[in-house]
Amino acid sequence: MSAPAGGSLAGRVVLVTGAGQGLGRGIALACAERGAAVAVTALSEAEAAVVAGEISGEGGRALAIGCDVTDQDQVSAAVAATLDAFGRLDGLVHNANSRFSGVGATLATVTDEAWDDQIAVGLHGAVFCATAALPGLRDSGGAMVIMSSLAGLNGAAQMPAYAMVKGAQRGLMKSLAREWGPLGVRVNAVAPSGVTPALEAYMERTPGAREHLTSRSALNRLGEARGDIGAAVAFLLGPDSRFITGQTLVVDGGAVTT
Amino acid sequence: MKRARVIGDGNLAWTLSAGLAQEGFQMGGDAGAVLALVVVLDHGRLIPMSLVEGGIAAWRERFDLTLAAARRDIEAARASLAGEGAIAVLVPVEGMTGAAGLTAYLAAVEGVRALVKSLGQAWAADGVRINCIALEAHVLHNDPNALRRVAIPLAAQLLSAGHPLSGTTLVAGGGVMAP
Repeated sequence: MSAPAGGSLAGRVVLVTGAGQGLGRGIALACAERGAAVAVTALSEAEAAVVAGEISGEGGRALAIGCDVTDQDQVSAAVAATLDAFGRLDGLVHNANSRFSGVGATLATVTDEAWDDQIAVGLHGAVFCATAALPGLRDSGGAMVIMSSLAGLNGAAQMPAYAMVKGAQRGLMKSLAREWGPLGVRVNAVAPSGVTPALEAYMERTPGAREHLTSRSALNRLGEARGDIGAAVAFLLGPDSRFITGQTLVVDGGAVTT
Repeated sequence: MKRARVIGDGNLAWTLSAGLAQEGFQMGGDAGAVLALVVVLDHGRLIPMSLVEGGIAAWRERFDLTLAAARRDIEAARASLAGEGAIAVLVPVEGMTGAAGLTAYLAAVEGVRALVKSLGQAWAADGVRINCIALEAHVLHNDPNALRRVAIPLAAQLLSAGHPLSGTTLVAGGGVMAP
């Protein structure tokens, strides 16, 4: 693949957090495939560099940045580095998740560390991203996408803290869409169901999990990080979604219908 | 005898408590039903402020404190139930629609609604139901007559034994339709 000159994101610049692996990597690759220059940020700069190298290897433009989204200074620096490298910012995707995100715990057993870290990464990180990105997004008439979850829509009995964070992200998105609409900046969320390394590992060690998860989808398959989830995010960042804001796009093959 | 308890304080809690008593609930003590108040910010602190203008300090004050108080109240409600029972959580309906200037507060509210959905699933096996009642913020804070007319009958239904709903949000905001 080489980045097409006339792709839907040609000439645009997108920053993706948590892009070192999984869905974030898929989103970064999908945006680059459509012509965007991509700032690939991850907690591990080495992981970010690998994904940036993949994009470069496919003929795209990318910048690898190590960034802890719970540190406001690091987020501001990542946005500044993106503007320095590419001269503009058209899209920001907040995809980073806490390391506790997939850990099951009831409300009574969830630790303060897990509760606080999920809020710090999912919500505070989103606020830091939004605050740092707004001037660039306002200048470009850009868009922000927050990666929420089906748990934020439906709840999750075994992961109430995770569901709370994902629901709160949707609340943040809705109010921010109203706040930034007059500025010409759109804000949406995606509730994805896609294959990630963590999900692959879970399905490998859990008999029947792959069949169960697949059967929930009306399309009878699991989503691909790049081709399905990444493509949907790229749509929300691109010109064809210019009248869409304040929405949660469910990208799960029809497991949930709206 | 139906027993209920209101978690929270202030005029809002007093109005709700009096209203539930009129609906036939015996108030106080170990409760078979609990009304948890999650509206923790007083109206004066709901002055609209943009996310960028407020910065992280305002975010922490509005989001973190709202959520922490909601979690505390819900846990207190759960602990006060004697066996099976029901919890109703009052939230502003604006969380469902979004509102400029109230980003942090309404993000917390939507987090609470997702938490209630999760707990509705998790606590079903224990015979504990939990739901939200969404009302316009001005009703929650400034309109006790509307509160008596709308919220209390709904709460009385949701808190009654044998009611089938759990994990859902009943929207009782004038003109606001559930998305």
